[in-house]
Amino acid sequence: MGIERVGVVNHRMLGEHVKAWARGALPIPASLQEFRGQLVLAGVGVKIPDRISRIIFVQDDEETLVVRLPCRSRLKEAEAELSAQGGSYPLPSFYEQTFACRARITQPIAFQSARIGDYSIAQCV
Amino acid sequence: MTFCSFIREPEPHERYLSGWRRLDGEQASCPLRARLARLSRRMYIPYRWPPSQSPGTEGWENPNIPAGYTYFAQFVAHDTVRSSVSTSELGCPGQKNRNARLAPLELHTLYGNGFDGCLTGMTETDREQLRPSKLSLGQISIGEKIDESCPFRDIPRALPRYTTANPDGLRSVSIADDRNDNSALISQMTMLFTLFHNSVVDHMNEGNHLPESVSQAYFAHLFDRARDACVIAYRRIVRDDLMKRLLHPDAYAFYTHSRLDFLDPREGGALTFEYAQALRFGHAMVRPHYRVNDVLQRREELIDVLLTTSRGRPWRLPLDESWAVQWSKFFPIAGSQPNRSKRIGPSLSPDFLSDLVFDRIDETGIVGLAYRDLVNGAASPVWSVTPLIEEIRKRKPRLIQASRLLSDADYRQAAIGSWLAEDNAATGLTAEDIQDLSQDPPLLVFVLFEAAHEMHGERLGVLGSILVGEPIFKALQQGAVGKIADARSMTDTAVCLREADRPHVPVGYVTDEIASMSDLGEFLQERAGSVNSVIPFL
Repeated sequence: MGIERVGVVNHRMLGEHVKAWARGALPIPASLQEFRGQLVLAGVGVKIPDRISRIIFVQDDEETLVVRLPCRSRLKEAEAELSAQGGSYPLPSFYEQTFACRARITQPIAFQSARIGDYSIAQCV
Repeated sequence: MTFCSFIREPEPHERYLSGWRRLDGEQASCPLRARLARLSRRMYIPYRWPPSQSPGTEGWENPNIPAGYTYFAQFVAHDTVRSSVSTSELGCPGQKNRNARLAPLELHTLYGNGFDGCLTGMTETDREQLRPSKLSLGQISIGEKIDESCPFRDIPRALPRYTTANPDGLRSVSIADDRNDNSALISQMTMLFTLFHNSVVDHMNEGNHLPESVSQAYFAHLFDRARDACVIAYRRIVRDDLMKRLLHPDAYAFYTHSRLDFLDPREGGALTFEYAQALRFGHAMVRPHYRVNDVLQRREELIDVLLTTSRGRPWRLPLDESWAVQWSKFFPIAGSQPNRSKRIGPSLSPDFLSDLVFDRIDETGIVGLAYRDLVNGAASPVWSVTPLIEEIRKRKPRLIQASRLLSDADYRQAAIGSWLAEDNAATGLTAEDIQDLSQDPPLLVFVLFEAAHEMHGERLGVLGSILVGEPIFKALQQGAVGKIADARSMTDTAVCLREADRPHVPVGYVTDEIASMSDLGEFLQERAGSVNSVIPFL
């Protein structure tokens, strides 16, 4: 039935919340429960699969490059799913609503690689 | 038509929020709106259902109600209620909410005003294809192409050229009730009933006349007779299938008893404020994701179900192969294992919080469907739960005794209070909020809580069943088959029709065959012509 992914409903609101954490304007949650609680309060809407029990926050600084690696087993599952007939890469809805056109991803594995190449090294700014 | 109160108009002290300031014009500082915002957050925290005992299913999945009934119930809701005031305007001075749906359960949501009898200049092709008697359909696209292999399995959509509308994409829908395009799945349900009507037209015409030889009145009569047949079958499905699944067994037995004695004996077709509130329980049945068909090995997320409409994503229409519903995935057909609806409880799928779909409606800035539902309830002069229970107890004590939540006020308040207090650090609900809301909960919240607490979310509880069931069964009783047929015979076109020109297929042939949504699916598979393609219809 597909991989259970972490899902965000209102990305813009989450982004505003992340900015507040980054600036020190809001306390960084010490637990997954506190994380959920802050996001409920902010109206973000987040879907966290039951398998996830911990949360880690990492903040860049001027000298450090943070490279975020995907979970090995999830990566394997995702590649298998995308390789299957009819497999399609799930993009957050706000992209399509922003560009007012449907993303046509003809090579899902290649697109996945590009996406990973983007967000694993992107510096969130 | 105005809404009315259930049984009688409650006294001021018997109304919901009687001890509170109601919604006021200063939206940003309105304390009631702020409290409803906090309560709405509670409604996105998952209800704590016991883990599923069935392999491959989740605890939140309802084994009693396949997912198709969520959208059939929505279709029925659109066929019974059409509020005259938008939610964002509710609570504003001078706004009086009326029900623009004058005749419930007569498929006005599908037919609108019906056959206008004024068609002129019909072409031969129109006549040959019985177009004047039919409702329009749209083709789906397969692999982003539309050709003869693409079946007509969408509602009709069009480019709004030469109009003042934005001309980009298929933004126009040619259907009677545009609420039936507020998600990809309700538009598929509308398509299903459109196919039903058209297949009945075809069947009624078989062996009767060559369309090119008959008058316009023939087409009008054919339309009306097919509509009668569809309405009768639809009403039977509502009574024998939908209500049976949704209502508490005691309430269903009460309303299907041969000597039915309504709690509210008043005549007239006005629906109640309480019905319009309780009906929103269907929002809690919506799953976070669906398997629509087997063409693509994936599930569709709710946010995409909600956005794939002519207003939401006109550039993506007509619907593509990922949205053509394989109906055995939504109703139990020939041993299928359909998607299950979500258990009914005071918790909505997270995607209902999306600001892309349910943007803010007032100056509080709160987004999401739950807040809209709560504001709608606060603006409606509905009964408060406790006096309503007492009023029902006076008339039918046996129904109340069946439920501890209804018969024991202290237990009720404690149970609701306990649920509200969970995660209150996240919701922001204060002790005062919890105290007040557990004493005087919004009717919708109570209906959802009752379903979860007493029926494991598999169906409505007693109070929810009464509030939803009574108006439905009243409407079913009032709109008798004969009454519909008699009314139609008074139309100009039918009066003008010679007996020899009338279709001779009796209405009963459809109603004998169809008593459930599963029956309807199988009927259409057999009779609706080329509905199959690379995407099976069933």
